[in-house]
Amino acid sequence: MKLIVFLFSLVLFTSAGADQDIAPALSLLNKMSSALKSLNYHGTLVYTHGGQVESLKLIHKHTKSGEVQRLVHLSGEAREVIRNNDVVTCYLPDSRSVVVGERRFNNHLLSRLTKNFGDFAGQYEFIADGKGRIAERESTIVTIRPKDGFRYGYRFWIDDNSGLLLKSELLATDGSLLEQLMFIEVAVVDTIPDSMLQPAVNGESYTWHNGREKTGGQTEQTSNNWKIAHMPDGFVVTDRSKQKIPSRSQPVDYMMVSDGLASISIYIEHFNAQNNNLLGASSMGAVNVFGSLLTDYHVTVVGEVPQQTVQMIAESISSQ
Amino acid sequence: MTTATEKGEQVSAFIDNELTRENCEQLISTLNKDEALKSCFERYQMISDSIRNQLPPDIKWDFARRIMSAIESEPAVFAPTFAPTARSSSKSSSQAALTRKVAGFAIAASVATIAVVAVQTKYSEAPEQVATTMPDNSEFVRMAKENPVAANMQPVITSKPSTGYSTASTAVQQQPIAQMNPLRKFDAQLHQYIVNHSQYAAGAGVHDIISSARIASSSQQKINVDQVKQ
Repeated sequence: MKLIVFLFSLVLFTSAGADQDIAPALSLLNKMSSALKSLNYHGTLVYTHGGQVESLKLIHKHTKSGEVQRLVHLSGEAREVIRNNDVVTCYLPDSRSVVVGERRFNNHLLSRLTKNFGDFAGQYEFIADGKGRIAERESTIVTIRPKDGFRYGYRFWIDDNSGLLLKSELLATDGSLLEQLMFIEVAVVDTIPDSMLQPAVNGESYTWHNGREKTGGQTEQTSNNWKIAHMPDGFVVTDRSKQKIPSRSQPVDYMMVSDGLASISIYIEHFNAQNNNLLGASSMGAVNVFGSLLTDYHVTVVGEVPQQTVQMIAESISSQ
Repeated sequence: MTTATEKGEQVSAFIDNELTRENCEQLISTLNKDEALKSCFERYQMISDSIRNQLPPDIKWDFARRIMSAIESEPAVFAPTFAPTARSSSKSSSQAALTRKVAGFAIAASVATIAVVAVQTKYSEAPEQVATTMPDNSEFVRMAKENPVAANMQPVITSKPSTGYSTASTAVQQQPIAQMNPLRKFDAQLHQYIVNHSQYAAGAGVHDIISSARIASSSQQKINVDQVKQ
């Protein structure tokens, strides 16, 4: 009996201690989330991934009606991604196309995370992890460490003054760096002129692909009944829909699964040898992809998670 | 020991996507510790911005002044002599090779001058001052180097003078990528899925900037294949 009481006390003590450690990290993440949405800022970023280093320019404006954010690739093809609240428009000069999509996470999951931490505590540790200086600003580091090998870790440098995210790292399960995004310079300003948010490329002559179009209504929505037999703990299906992919005449079945931090997309379409689909494992920077066949269908799983996670999900899809 | 000039050349090469992976990582690490080098990076990035007409309108005039000041403080460099064919075909390999030969401070400084004149000319309120012919490149670079303020005050080139330089630079940076990353049959399809995923998942994580960064850079990323069955 004494042993049980001791163990129970130990559990209580441990969880109380963990809560004390978690609180500052969650407070900082909450501050960061709010700052990223509510401030006006612009700056130059360096993005390191998959052995490449690229420079990007970011402009963010908060308005009465929400947010507008423009990210421009400064080298090579002048790709741009402009997000107007939930509508994400990608200008892709290399393929002379514009792709319009709509993100589904209107309510930032981070706000859920900080309010309902119990949903995610099983999968990640949250640690306030020292100080750093980025873009001439003092910052506090928050590390988010996964508890298993099915997801990546994160490290954020959060500006002590503004709360902005100054540097972000995505870490492999062994702690090695997969992706890094870092401001070289950033300015928090009172106002952003609308001219800074206009795309530099004239997309009028481009081919527009609008993935937001409703393609089949309720009937098609409910026909997407694919099952996933095995997923790592903590992942749940957060969306079922159909997505229009530029090279496909018909929309493909789509599912998203997420553990709150990492997200994984699943695309399922009729198998066609002409489609040049991937069979097997592939990766691009931190994004892993796995393609597999399911009788007459082809499954592609894409996510910023380790290869074993996309493979497990791809091989677990069934129609029943 | 890396000299300041070599560091500057590294920054210039970085902005043109011409550094090796190892050198990039070394440079990024150094940028965080070296204020002078970071300042150099910011200047060159603004040069790049200017060439692409990406500068916010409210800083263009101040930018011109700052770049002129920066050029004057750079070490003297040999002004390159351009072959007559240098601007005849903006994407020719010969021009790319020529551009590569004059890389480093020389091209950075000359491009800076051209960029400034371009900005000044484009926003000039006195179009009658703009001549309709473009001078010989070598003569222009020499003039700009010897007396950049005069070149600045009396723009003598057309409203888009930097086109030949900027496209040549683009050709240089894309060439090695094309050689390194031959597209396989499924690459285009995978890129579409990755763009869709990043677009749709934006905001699913802690911040959405990284999702946008993946989209913006996906055309240049190499798709690795580990276990392809097809």
